[in-house]
Amino acid sequence: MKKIFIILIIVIIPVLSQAQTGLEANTFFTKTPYRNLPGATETEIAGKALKDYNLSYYHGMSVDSAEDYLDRIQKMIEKDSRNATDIEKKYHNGRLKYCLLSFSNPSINRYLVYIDSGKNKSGRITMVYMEGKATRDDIAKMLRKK
Amino acid sequence: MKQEKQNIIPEETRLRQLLEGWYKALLTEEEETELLLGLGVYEGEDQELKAGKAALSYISVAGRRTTSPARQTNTTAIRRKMPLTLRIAAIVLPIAVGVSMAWGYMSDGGSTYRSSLGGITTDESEVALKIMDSQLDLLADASESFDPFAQDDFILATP
Repeated sequence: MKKIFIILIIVIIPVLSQAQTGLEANTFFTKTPYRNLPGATETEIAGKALKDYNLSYYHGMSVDSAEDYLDRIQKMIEKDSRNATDIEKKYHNGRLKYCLLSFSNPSINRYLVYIDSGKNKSGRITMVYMEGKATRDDIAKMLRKK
Repeated sequence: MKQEKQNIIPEETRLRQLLEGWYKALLTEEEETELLLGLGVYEGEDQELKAGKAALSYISVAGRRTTSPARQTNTTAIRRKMPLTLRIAAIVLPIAVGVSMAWGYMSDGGSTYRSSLGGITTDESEVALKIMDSQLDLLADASESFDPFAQDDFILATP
């Protein structure tokens, strides 16, 4: 049992910390300047709690006053867009306000959502990474449910 | 008589060696002196015989005294059991804690939670789910808020 528990820990920790590996946006979730921005709120959920959403992992982070980093963050999104299988972006006054990127493959579907909810120049940024069996339609339904 | 003495002395020597070797460690200095006086090897032949009997008797008593060392052995055993008990506890307790945590993990449907608010990190499911809810609300608002008729808004999407 102890061995099983140790194996679980070994398996879960990398899953929690590295789920969005391979994406440029991983920098936003893991690097200091973003994590230390004012109002940084982060949450990670893995497992059956996400069963209703058909997801296996959820990682979301919101930060305030990210205006100095907006360009860098948007460049991350642009780079990740190149590898996305589905892209939905919304701009306002030339500024990227919302973006949903899908990275689908036969084994797992991955989604990256970017929201700039700041008004004018204030930078309230939220980035959400999700993965699981949920299809693009499931994600759309999930948002409609809300 | 001399013959008898020759027979007794080696016996006494043997007893003495026995006493000095095996029992010396168990006897106090006073008891040892008493025993050696009791042997009385230098006090005459009759005395030697008596001393031999005394020695035998003393050895018998000392032999019974081995119950005391036996008790010591028991005490030692108990002492030895203490670390063993601790050793067992050291093995059992982490397993119990592991099983309890694993049970908690499984009863929660195998979910893990981690949230961080203003530098404070917690693994409470309620907090994590609340944050997720508020983030999904934001996401929903953002995905719905697009106004296709506004001139400065535009959407880019791939089917």
